[in-house]
Amino acid sequence: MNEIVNSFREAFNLIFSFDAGVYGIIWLTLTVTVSSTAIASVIAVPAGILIGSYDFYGKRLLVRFIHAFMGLPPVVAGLVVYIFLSRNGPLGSLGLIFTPTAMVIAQVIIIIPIITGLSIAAVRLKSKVVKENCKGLGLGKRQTFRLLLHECRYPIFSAILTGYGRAISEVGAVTLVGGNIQYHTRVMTTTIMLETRRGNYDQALAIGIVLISLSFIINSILYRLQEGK
Amino acid sequence: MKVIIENIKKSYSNRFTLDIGKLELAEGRIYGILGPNGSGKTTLLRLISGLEKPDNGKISYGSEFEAPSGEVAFLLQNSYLFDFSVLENVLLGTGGKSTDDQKLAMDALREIGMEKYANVRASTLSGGEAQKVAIARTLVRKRRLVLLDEPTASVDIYSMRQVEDFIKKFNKNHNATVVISTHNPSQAARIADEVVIMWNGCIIERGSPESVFSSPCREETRQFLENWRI
Ligand SMILES: Nc1ncnc2c1ncn2[C@@H]1O[C@H](COP(=O)(O)OP(=O)(O)OP(=O)(O)O)[C@@H](O)[C@H]1O
Ligand SMILES: [Mg+2]
Repeated sequence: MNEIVNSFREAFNLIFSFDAGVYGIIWLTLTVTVSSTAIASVIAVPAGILIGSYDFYGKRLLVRFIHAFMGLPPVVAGLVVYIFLSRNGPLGSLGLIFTPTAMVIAQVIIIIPIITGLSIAAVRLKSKVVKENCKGLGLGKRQTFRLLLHECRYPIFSAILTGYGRAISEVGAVTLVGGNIQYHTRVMTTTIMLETRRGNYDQALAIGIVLISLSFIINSILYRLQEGK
Repeated sequence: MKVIIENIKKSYSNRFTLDIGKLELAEGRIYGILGPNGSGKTTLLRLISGLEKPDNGKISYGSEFEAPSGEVAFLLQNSYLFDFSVLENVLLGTGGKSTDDQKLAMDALREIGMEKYANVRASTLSGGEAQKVAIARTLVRKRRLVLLDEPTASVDIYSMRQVEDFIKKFNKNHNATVVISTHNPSQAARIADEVVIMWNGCIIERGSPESVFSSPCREETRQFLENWRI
């Protein structure tokens, strides 16, 4: 018990005495997760709105697939990206394996189904009444889409936050495709893994605390932004 | 705009079939659709608006067979205000945000006594207030065909008269064809040039309000009007 308390105390001390390396890790974590969430959202939110608000042939099957992929184990996504990007893989010549770009790609693949699936759920209930009222006013497709996005912005926003949460907490895929290389692809979750294995619990715990705080701060900032709008 | 409905059939599984042989709506007239719950008023309006496609038959609008979207406005029975201010909602009906549009929107709000709510968030309005704003949004600019599905169902008696005056004025100014469904024969008598009585998906009777109300030819019409006083 005492040891745990000591670990926490030591961890808090460490937070205020991080070296440049640790700040580099935090910065990389932020850029990778924010990039992957932004890219995934640009694709998944419109896709979710369209799938959720239009009827078409094969829709049920598609939605079932998306739901299945929402629970895709990240490490499997990592494996697939690894196979494609590895030196001998089909896209090996791009030289992306063990780079932050590869990590972003893996995370995008992991969170696209999540944001799409939750966006579908977000617009499902309102889409009919919004679309019909738009049509009643003679509004075009673009404006109808915009209004639907506006009316469902809160649940869509929380879909994006959920995706972000998945990206920042993920460790399996980024280890595989990033390789956890110091000063290059080491992020917070992989650092925690590594330091724990080395027995540096204080260091691991310190990073863990920062990770949770960051998550909290980013969520708060995004909520502010949303409310300001 | 002149609308001609010919041999329209629309079924919802086995539950309900709308079946209309011929209905002509002349330019510049106001039509009142009356009938009990489930008689097909909404279904008819949705078909005319193009929101629903008929199983059979066709509807022509002037010389076209598709409702020309910019020239038709349809106030749904479950009208919906977007999460903006009242003014911004009405501006969605004008199709722009210029000062002219703003003026049109404010004029429409004034017609139904809602101008002081212009900058209020629509989600904070009462049910009847929201409905009045939805009416203003539908009638804010010139349209050649306007379909109103029970526009005053949730509106108080005083406002109901304001809305009716607004509808009449709109009809006159733009020479628009107006179709209103209502449960209220008095309202139909006040504003409609012609009433259409629906029953079980069919039009059973039509004519001027005076003639239909004073001497209905169908037993069902008599039954429908039975409990109506004044
Ligand atoms: N989408 C639908 N699916 C199945 N049945 C429907 C659908 N829409 C309407 N109906 C049925 O068609 C019938 C006519 O409905 P409609 O909405 O046209 O009636 P209405 O005359 O407008 O009634 P009210 O006065 O209650 O508004 C009703 O019995 C209704 O249950
Ligand atoms: Mg109805």
